[in-house]
Amino acid sequence: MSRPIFASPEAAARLLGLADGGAADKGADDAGEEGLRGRQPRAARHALRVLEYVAASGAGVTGQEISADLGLSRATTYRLIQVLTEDEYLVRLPDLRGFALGRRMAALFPPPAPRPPRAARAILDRLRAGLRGGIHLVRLDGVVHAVVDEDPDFPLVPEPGVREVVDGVCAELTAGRQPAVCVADRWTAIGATVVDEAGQVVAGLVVVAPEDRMPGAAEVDARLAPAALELGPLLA
Amino acid sequence: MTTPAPVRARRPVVGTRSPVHGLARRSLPFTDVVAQSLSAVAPSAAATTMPLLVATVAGGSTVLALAVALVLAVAVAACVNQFTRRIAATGSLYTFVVRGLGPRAGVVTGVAMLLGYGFITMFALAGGGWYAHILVVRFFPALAPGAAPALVVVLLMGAAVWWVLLRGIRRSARVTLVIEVVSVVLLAVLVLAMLAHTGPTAAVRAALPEPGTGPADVAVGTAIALTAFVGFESAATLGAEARRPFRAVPRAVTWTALGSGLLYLGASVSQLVGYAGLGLDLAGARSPANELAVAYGVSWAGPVLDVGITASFFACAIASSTALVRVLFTMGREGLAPRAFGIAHAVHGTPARALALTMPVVTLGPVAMVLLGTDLWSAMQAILVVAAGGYITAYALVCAAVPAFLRRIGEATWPPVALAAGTATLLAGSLVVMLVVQSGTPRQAGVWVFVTLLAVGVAAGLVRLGRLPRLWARLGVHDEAVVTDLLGAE
Repeated sequence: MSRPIFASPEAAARLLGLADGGAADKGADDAGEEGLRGRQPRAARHALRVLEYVAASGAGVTGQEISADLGLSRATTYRLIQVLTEDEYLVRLPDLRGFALGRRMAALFPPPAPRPPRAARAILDRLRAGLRGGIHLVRLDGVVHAVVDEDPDFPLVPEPGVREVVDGVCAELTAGRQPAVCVADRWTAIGATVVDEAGQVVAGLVVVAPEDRMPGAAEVDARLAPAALELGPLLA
Repeated sequence: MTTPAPVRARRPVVGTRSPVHGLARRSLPFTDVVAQSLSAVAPSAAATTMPLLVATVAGGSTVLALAVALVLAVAVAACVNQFTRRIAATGSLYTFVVRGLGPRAGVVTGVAMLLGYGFITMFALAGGGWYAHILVVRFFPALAPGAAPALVVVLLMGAAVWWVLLRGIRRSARVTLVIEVVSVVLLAVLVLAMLAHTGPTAAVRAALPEPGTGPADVAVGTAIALTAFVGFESAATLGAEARRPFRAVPRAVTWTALGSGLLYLGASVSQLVGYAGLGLDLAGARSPANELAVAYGVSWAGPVLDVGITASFFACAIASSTALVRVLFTMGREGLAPRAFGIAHAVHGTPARALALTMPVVTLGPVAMVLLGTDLWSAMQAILVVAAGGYITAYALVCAAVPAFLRRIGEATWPPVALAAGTATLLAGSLVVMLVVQSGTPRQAGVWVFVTLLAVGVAAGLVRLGRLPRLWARLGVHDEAVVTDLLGAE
């Protein structure tokens, strides 16, 4: 699930009722250019509240109920519902009164990165036992790069440089370059990719250590590569 | 979610299949939806013929009548869109009225729409013959007398429409869109050139109603002028098939009504100005765009326009008969009309039976009228009265259905309700005035045909409704949300 939430900025604007709002709001200033104006921020907030309300009350909630419970005027509510149904974030049910969240909303809820299975954690334990430095497993196939198994002995500390080297290595790995090395402040990170059967990058093994304590790149790579190979079938 | 959603008392069951399954659901892009409405209206054919037809009934208040018709058409579009934003239908106005006012009113609407679509198809075929004849005479002046060439064209076009619809050629919608856009652009250029040539004061003088024309003239002119718009709602028949139907269909309906109305206004002002400049009366013209093109020294534009207008009439015939057989097909499926109408072609998946019944009737209708001694132009005027009656009846009913529908689904607010009530009243008024006034003219045959056919059709429909009680639940079928449309339901 790495689909972008919105196909385009226009799609996002439509969700927030901006594209049509300009024409509907009599006397509203020109909405052609970027940026929120006038009553538009409030319209965006209201649209999101309507979605939240439908999500909370379940399928079948009616326009009248939404209007009454959110304290919005009926005209505003129906207009918001209209915009959201046009784009299929909301779906009108067969009784024509009730609404439910549309399938399109699925793009807003990417599934969380799962905890790696036991077999994968065992491989990580072995790797950590034989190599000095924090060894972390990062999923690279989601909407964000997420650390799914952090080294318990050398956690990612909030020191200057740590975030930069991890980000840098992950970016390199996603682009398909490996072994990836990144240096910032006094920190170094070295990474290897975990790929699926088609060669698509699914995760990265990242070793983070202070520059002066990092073993040689060749040694690290010799350790990481076989572990990454073993992890492939467990994570992809 | 970790907390369970509160259980709702009334939760409608969502199925896995839409009631109109079989159609290519959510597949048509916006261009095809606009193409359906635009080709059903055939604005270039209407813009060249309609000012003349309005001028024959409304005299000096042609432009006023067209302007009133434009306002009414946009108001009807707004009312129709109260439905198209909420229901993805295939039966168009007929389905909407069933949802608002119930099956009985739905039957009246269905019959009125069949009359409207059927007679507009006849009008388009006859118009195609009329303009093709004018085109042929340019090159073979010997063919000028006699109606035979025009009738041959009517028959050929009828056969071609039948073939296109039987083969289910979707691409035809795109072809007609291109034809329509080219002829509209050509026409718009001529209109602008004519207005630039004569200057603004002449245009304003032509647009103002002449003294001596009364409200009745305007009402009849408006009713006839409304027929130039009809078909703009036909995008609503594609509700199930359109991609993003709740956005695409309302836009197609509004834009078609507004755009073609502005073209008609421009065309009528320029034709009036042009004829006034020649010292002639528009009401006595035969083919205004041609005659003006010749008189103002751009005679090369004449044949080009004739080709465009003939093609536009052909497109109109295709689009109107598409809508006609689709409504019949829906009625056949529901059981209101004989089941045979609901039988689709085994290979092409098109409503073959409905076509086999309707196409000969609408093609031979104008031919028979000419063979019985009417000239084609008079026949077209009478046909138009029937079509206008059918459409305006259906439009008035769909507007009247808006308040009931909105109340039924609990989304009534006063602006759409007030608009719908006002529009329905105006439409009903102009329908009555038109029928009364036209019954005293040579076009009275159209009035009697309309009243008779409507009465017979409605009676037959109501009798069937009374005999088959299960029909009550079956009418008004439309595309519904299915589980795969919903979040987390599949």
